Amino acid sequence: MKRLLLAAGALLALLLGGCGVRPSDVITGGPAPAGTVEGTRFYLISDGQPAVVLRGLKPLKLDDVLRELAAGPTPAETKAGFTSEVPAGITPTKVGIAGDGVLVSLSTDVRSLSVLATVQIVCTVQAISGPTPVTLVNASQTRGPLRCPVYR
Amino acid sequence: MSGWGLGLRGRLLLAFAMLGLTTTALVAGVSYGQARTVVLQKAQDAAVLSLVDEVSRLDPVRQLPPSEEELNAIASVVAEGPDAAAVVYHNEYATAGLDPSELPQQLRAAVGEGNVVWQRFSRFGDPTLAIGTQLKSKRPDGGTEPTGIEVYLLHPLVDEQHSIDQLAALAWSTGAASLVLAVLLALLAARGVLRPVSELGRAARRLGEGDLRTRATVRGSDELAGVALIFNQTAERLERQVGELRRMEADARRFVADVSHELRTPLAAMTAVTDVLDEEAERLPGDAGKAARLVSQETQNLAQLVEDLIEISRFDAGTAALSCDNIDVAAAIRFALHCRGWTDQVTASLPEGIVAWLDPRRLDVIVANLVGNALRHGGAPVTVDLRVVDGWVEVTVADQGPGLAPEVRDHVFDRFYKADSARSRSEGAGLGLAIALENARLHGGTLVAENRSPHGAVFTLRVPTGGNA
Amino acid sequence: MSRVLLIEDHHTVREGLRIALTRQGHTVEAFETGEKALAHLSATPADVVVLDLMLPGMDGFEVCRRIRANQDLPIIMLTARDDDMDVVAGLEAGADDYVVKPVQARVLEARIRAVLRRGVARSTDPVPEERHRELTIDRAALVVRKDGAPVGLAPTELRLLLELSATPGRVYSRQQLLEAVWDQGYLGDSRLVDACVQRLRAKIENDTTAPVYVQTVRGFGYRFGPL
Repeated sequence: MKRLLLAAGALLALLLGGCGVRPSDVITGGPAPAGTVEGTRFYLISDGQPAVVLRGLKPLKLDDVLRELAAGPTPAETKAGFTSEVPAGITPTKVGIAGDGVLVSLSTDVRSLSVLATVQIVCTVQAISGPTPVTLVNASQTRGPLRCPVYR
Repeated sequence: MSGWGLGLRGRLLLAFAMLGLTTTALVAGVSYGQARTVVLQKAQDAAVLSLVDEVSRLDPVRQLPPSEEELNAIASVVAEGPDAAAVVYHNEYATAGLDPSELPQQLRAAVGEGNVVWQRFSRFGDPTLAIGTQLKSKRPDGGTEPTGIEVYLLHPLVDEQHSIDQLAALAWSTGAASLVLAVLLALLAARGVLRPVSELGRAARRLGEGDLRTRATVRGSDELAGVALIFNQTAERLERQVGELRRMEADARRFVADVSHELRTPLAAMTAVTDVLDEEAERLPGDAGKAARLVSQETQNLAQLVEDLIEISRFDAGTAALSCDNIDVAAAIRFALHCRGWTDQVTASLPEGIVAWLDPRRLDVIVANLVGNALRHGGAPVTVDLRVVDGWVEVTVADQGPGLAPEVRDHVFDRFYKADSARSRSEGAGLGLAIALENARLHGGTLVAENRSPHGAVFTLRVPTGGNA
Repeated sequence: MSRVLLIEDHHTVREGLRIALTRQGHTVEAFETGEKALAHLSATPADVVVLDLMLPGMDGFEVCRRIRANQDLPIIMLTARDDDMDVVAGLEAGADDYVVKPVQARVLEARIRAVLRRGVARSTDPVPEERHRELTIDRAALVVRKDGAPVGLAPTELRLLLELSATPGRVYSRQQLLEAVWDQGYLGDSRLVDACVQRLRAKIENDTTAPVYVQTVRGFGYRFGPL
């Protein structure tokens, strides 16, 4: 008899408690929508992750792009929290097509470039040149062929 | 359940109510839950889809980091109607009614993983849906990358809450209705069971009170009908057996009465000559004289015993009758004592003027027996007191003897009971008090035996004064 | 010495009673049937009849009635106590008293003495006749006349009338009458009194439903008058 009443009480409590719209945990849906961007895409670092910034609309050549990249973030970008690991001395550079990829000769040591810096350079290059793999060379060092990583 | 003292009706009611409630609660609860999920899901999905659609059709982003105008533009596109929105880029944000700090932390953290996320929370007491998503950009190589812009939308769920509340009210009222229905059904079922049960109970009580002809009605063919059938069979058997027993008892009594009656005739002849034997006994030599006296004495004892037996059997057969008259009780008692020569041995307090409607012969029998017992088995001084109490005539015979032992007191009015089994037969067969009691009862009165302190027995006769001429 | 006519059918009872009564000094004639006894009585008088009710042939009631019709002989019934109805019937038939079998000789003797005493005058002093309306009572001669004609009363009836009329208007209880007339006091059966009163009324009252001489006082007993 006692057990019966306890069960009834629990059921009642459940009913009363579960009424109405309850707060929930985070529900995950599909992938975030994607829009288009217009402008030249540069890759800087934000929060330890590669992040894209847009600078201007005019098309640039690869040499210019890399030079701009090496110049680092703009004051507005810095204010927004962007950084760059691309060393300033990667220019002058020479960009050429080799095979089905892009060859980028840098004036700096390619092996000592950090991963993030590499990603920055490769992604920025691929933003201009398309999805072909990019190889970084310097004197006798080669790094690549590399591709810009695909995020989620 | 027995410890609760609920009747059958109560238990059925409780069981039905619990069943009804539980079932309804489950069904209503589940349906409600389902309905609520569906309603919310529909609302949420609609809101999410709408947001996703708008976000994907936004104007292309031209600046990253975006300008304030750009963020505002996005915010104003997304926010519509009651929905508030906020667009966040790193530490900056544009608001259309929503401050990002209001958003649940969980949601903001989840947005960074690249999916559309939503969460319900309470905002100013109202249920609100918060949707958050990154704005990604399409890359020429087919992939997407986050722009760093996060779009948040707040969609109030008040309408949904209202619909759900209506659902809940419906569920509750269904529960209440089902409870009422369950109670009604229980009462109905209980009645169906209880009526034959209480009928059976009544029949059993009547049977217990002595009406052996009681039978229960057998309706239908369920267990109750089975019990009623067994009851009837048992009652019939009981009736037959009791009838048997009564017949046997009546036979036995009739036998005693017949035997006693038959004994009268030889006794009449013997009794007539006991006086002769007594007188001649002195002249007879030696043992012959003793023999004559012995026969004489025992004949008188036997005659008395037979008379007592016949008297008892008349009581048993119910043929004993009172022949009453207005009796001066004091005079009657005095006469009884005088007749037997006890006047000097007994202290009597017999106030004049007490008149009662009594059978004088039977009164005499009672008084003679009580006083005789007191003198023989009790001890002097023996007192007889007469008084009237509340319309009852009370005659008290008391002695200062050893009194009645407890086991004796319980059986002293039994037939053939003699307290001291070694007592000689000349003092009677043990029927005296039994006859006295029956005589008292015949008058509608009582006769009780008690001990008095410090020692001695008290017999109290109470008879109604009658009070009609 | 009185002559007792004993009518009892059971031979040992008859023999026992005969022995007992003879020892008391009575002359006993014992018969086993009513017819034989009546035949004897018509030839030889007796002083008192002791009559068992259960007789073969002519029953005790009939014998009682027949004796009563002819003479004012005292009759004592012998009865077994069960037969309460018989007691009443016997008293109505005219018996003066009854004893219950088995009876001790001395008890029967006392009843016989009592009933014989009733036939004897109390005192020999001449007492004037009493006149109570139509009744004339002569206590010395033990004669009662109604409108001049003598009324045949059995000894007990006579004794009862004498007792009541001795103090007219005084109420006697049945117990007092049993004591005075039957010598039995509280042990007596009050039906004896009632039956005797009825027989007396039948003989002296003009209207037995509204008696004037022997009146009933409800709750108390009987009294003579007041006229």
